[in-house]
Amino acid sequence: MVGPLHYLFLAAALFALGGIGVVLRRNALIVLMSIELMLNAVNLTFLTFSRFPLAKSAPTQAGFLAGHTAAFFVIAVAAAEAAVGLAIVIAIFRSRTSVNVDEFDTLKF
Amino acid sequence: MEVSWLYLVPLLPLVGAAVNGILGRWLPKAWVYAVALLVVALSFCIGVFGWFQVARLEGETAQVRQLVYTWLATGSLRVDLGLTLDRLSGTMVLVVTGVGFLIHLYSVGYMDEDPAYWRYFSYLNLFVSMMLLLVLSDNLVAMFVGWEGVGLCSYLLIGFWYDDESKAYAGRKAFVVNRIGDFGFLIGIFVLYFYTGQVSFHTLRVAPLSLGVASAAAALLFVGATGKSAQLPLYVWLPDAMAGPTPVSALIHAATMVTAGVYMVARLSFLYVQAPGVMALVAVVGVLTALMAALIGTAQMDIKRVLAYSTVSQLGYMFVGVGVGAFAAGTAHLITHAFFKACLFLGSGAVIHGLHGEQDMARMGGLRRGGLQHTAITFFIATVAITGILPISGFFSKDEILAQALNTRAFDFLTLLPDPGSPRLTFLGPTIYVVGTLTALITSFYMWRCYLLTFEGEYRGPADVHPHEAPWVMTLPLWVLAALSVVGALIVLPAHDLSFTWERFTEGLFARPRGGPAAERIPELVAFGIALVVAWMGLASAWSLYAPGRGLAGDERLGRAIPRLRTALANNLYVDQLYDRMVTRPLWALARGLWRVVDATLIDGLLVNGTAQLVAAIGSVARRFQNGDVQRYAAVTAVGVLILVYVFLVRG
Amino acid sequence: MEFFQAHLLTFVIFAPLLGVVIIAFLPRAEGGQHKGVALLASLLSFVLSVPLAASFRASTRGFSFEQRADWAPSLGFSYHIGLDGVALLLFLLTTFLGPIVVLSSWKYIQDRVKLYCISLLVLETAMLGTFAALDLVLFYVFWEAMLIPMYLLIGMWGSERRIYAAVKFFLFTFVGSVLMLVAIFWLWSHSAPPGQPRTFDYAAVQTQVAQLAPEAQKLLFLAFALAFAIKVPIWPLHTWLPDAHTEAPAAGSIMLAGVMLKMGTFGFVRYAMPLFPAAALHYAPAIAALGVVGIVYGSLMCMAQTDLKRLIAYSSVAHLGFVMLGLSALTAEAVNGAVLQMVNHGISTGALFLIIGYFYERTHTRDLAQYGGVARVAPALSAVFLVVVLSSIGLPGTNGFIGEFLILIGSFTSAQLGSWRGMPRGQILSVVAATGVILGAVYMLWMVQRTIFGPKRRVAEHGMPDLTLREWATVVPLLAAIFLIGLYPQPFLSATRLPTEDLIQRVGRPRAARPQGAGFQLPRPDAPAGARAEGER
Repeated sequence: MVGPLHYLFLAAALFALGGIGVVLRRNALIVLMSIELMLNAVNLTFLTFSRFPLAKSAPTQAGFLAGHTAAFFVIAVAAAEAAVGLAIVIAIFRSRTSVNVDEFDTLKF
Repeated sequence: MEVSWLYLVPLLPLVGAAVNGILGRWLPKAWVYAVALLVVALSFCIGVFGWFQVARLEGETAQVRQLVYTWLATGSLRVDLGLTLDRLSGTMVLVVTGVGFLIHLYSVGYMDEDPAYWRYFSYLNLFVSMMLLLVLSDNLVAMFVGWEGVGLCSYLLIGFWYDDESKAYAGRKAFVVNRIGDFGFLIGIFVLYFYTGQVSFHTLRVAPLSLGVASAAAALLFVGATGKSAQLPLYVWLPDAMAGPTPVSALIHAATMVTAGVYMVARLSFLYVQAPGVMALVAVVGVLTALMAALIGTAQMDIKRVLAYSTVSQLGYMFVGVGVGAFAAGTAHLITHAFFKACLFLGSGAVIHGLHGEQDMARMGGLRRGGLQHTAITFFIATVAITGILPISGFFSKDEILAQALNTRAFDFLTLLPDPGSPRLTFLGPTIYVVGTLTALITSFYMWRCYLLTFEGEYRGPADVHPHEAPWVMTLPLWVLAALSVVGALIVLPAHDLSFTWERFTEGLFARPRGGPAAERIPELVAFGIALVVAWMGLASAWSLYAPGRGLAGDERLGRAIPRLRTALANNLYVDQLYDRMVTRPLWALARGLWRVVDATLIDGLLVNGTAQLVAAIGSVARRFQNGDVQRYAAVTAVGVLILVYVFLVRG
Repeated sequence: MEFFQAHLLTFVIFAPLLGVVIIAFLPRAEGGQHKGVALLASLLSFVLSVPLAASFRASTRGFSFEQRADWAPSLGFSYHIGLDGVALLLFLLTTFLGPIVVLSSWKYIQDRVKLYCISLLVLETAMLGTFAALDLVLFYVFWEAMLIPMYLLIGMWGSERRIYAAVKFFLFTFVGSVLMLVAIFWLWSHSAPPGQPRTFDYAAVQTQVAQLAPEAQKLLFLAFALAFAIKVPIWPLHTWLPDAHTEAPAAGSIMLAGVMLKMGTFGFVRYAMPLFPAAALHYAPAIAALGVVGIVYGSLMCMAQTDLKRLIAYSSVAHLGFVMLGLSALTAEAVNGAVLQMVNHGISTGALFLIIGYFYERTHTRDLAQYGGVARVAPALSAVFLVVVLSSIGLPGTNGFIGEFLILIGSFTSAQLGSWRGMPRGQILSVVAATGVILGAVYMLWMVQRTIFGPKRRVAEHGMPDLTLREWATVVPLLAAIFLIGLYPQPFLSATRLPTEDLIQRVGRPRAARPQGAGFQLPRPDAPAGARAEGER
């Protein structure tokens, strides 16, 4: 039987992969994609708990729409963030002709 | 008796100093002279008026007082600017203003060609004002104001020709050495205030003081006196003070300022008789200073230096006088010394003036017949006075001191060591007498040497310098002072029933030392005889070496006989070098050492800048975390979040 | 008019800020206008402070001219100002020096004049406010407000190492201040019984603090004392001062030496000692000893200097050592003398820096080796210099003597400092401090000889302009003050009598026993004169 744990493990694995990608990958576009992956993992978690609520009783069968609503918010924010992030990457690429994150090190002392 | 005009005595010269100091540069020369002379003359007249007042009154009430205003009042300390003119201070006022006036007059001639004459007269007036304040004040603090004030004027006047580095240095040396003495004076005031709550003379007079307190205060105040009056060990500034104009040397360093120490001890006679140990110290220091200075004076070639050491020596005599309890005798010598020493100094000034600046006796000689008759005769009279070959003023005053030293019983009950079994100091008085008499011999010797080398024999100077006599403004004071040196004998005549002697005049003013009235160990006439013989012996030995015609041969003979002693004396017994090596240089080295080691290296370098550098070092290590790698920032944030999650969810 | 008179103190404090507002609206280019407005503003402040001083009654205990307005009642601080005798004297010193400082830098400052004038005026307001504040937060605000203008003055118009000196000054004094801030908050938290609103008001804190535990008192005292000790400066926290003075422009030095250093000593008198009396008494011998070390050490340092301004800076350390000795001795003579000496030091050392500033304007060097023979070419300037130096070494007749004498005699007779191996500490400290009198003459007269006497050296070779009219206008008031206080100090001493009496009563031990054999009472008339008292010393 596919239960909540399966979804949660999947979400966790996706989150971990996304996190590792954010920290370790050199290409800025790949970093953005990893961030998307993390956000999707979070979406999956929200939906899992929406579908398999923790509490025994719920107001309505659709009462735990909170998770779905949150997922919509996350999708909207992810879209906006992807747009802004890509705009920044393009701007940096224009001046430095590179999307290698290791080279963007001016945010320091 | 309260009066309201006494404040004018020190105020008028102060006004004169202010006028000449501020406006003097633009006033006509005659006006400057007029102002300077007038204020001193006026103070003299008021002083005479006051003097007659107190001469008429008798005993304890023979005082003219004025409380000008309350200067300081805080806590239990109350210092008034109070002036008291009694028989002692009144006479001092006359001496200061009288001799001062004569010296002002003399300066009109002496400083006539100096472009800064107005500054000179301003300083001179300021000095007279401060000296009068010192003499008239009725409490220790006001006296200290005058004390330091005369020290200031001494500094300004010694360094008057300030372009010359050595003259400016001499002025500074005088001030600093005086300050060392002042340090003692201040602590003495503090001790007295601590134990009595008073600083004013007439309340201190009746305050109960234990032996220890009185001794401490008396000794400390005496330290101040050694500074101001150039005794051992703080006399070293006086010979160098001859760098100032000669009238300054006459007024400040002979007649008045240097006598302030003696005056102070006499004023505080009530304190000193309560501390007989300190009195012994005063007398011993005085006689040793007298002897040492006299010896050094025999080897000096600069005429002013001879007179300077002579002053130190004579001051030693005065301290002997007050030290053995003969306050009247000590102060009497102060007065007569003012006359003849001022005359000597002014005479030397006339010589220097007449020789266009020559001060070295090697280049003098034969000046009596060579054009300076007035100077020579007055100098001769004054030399007779100081050496005592004839019974005029100096003879009696000096002899009286020595007689009192011989006969004193003030030390009879003192013991050499604190242990009661150790020998009593009854021998101290006679010992001082012997040393003092020996010093009188040497005094007679070096003073006659000075006279003979300067005025007799052949002229040894360069051919193009033609000695000429001084103008009347300079010779008139010489004659007046010479006359006073002779006539002054009247006040010091030893006849005890004469009403106009100093001793009678100041009866009751000074406290009597413990031990009782003086014994008569040697009959009076014998003592006189010894003094006369000693003085003539000095003259004879001087004559044998420096008789007219022998020139400087005498010095050469002495130089062959006792070469090392002679050079040592000529170099002031190397005391200046001793002080330089033991005090001055170590002090400056200490200052520089402290500056380099403690301030620059330790405090500033290690602690202050070190802290700053430590912070910077930590910073440069810590800043490596911020290397600009955004992914690392993200990783660190993630780790931080995990930790927080752990803390809040697992640990609650 | 009534309003004006009732709020006179506020007007005096903020008059310079009025000048700031006007200057801020003036265009930048015009140099003379800014300086003129600054001069007028500081003169206004001084002129308004005269009726303030005239209406002060020395016989009223507590604070005069009090004003209070709410600022943040819920947090407990208000705009509460007022003056007692001690604060009044320092307040007047500040308003007195204000116009002199502006006038003295008229020719010297040529660039960024607008900012310069604003800095001077803000500095003056901050100083005036610090003396008048009766609320701890208000005091702290004004205290910190002094730092920025001073930092700018040193850092922008100073000499070669100005940045280093300015940063050092700022950080050094700031470190002490933040510790004091912590202590202030602690006081606030304990300023009222539980349940009552807490306050920063001085009077309220003072009454409540009496119930603190002694250990807490000691820590708080140390926190306050550290801030003030750095400001005074007390040895060994003094090293910022020589650098700050050397690099600051003349006007900055005058304000720094003239007023700012007094903040430290004032802080002791107003805050550290009365708020924590037991701790103050406990630490008094240590502070007195450090003061004496400062006197001797500072004097010795002066002897080793070759830079004119650095020499005077170290002499400040020595002079304020006297003040700290006097304050810690806790006798009426000593404390009154110490307060007076604060004013005296402001005038004398301010005047010294003024004259040296004039020297620097003419010669552009502070190196003593280049000086010599100035009296030949600029006699009036040299004469004034000599007079001010004499005031600094405490010549009787000048102001310096009164302060030094009172401090020395007061500490000599002090019974509040305990004893050391049988001798009263006050006596030992006073004697050592008195050697400072000798050392002072040594280094000051040496400096005088090097600069104005002797043969002409490089600076005097081509002549030197003597004092101009403007410069005379700055010098004459200072000379007048020197002699006025020296000859007639009584009004100043009576102004401070009551506040110092209160301080001594609060902090000091009750009248300790007099030594044996001594008495402040004169014997009865029938006792023989000069009789020995019972017991030896």
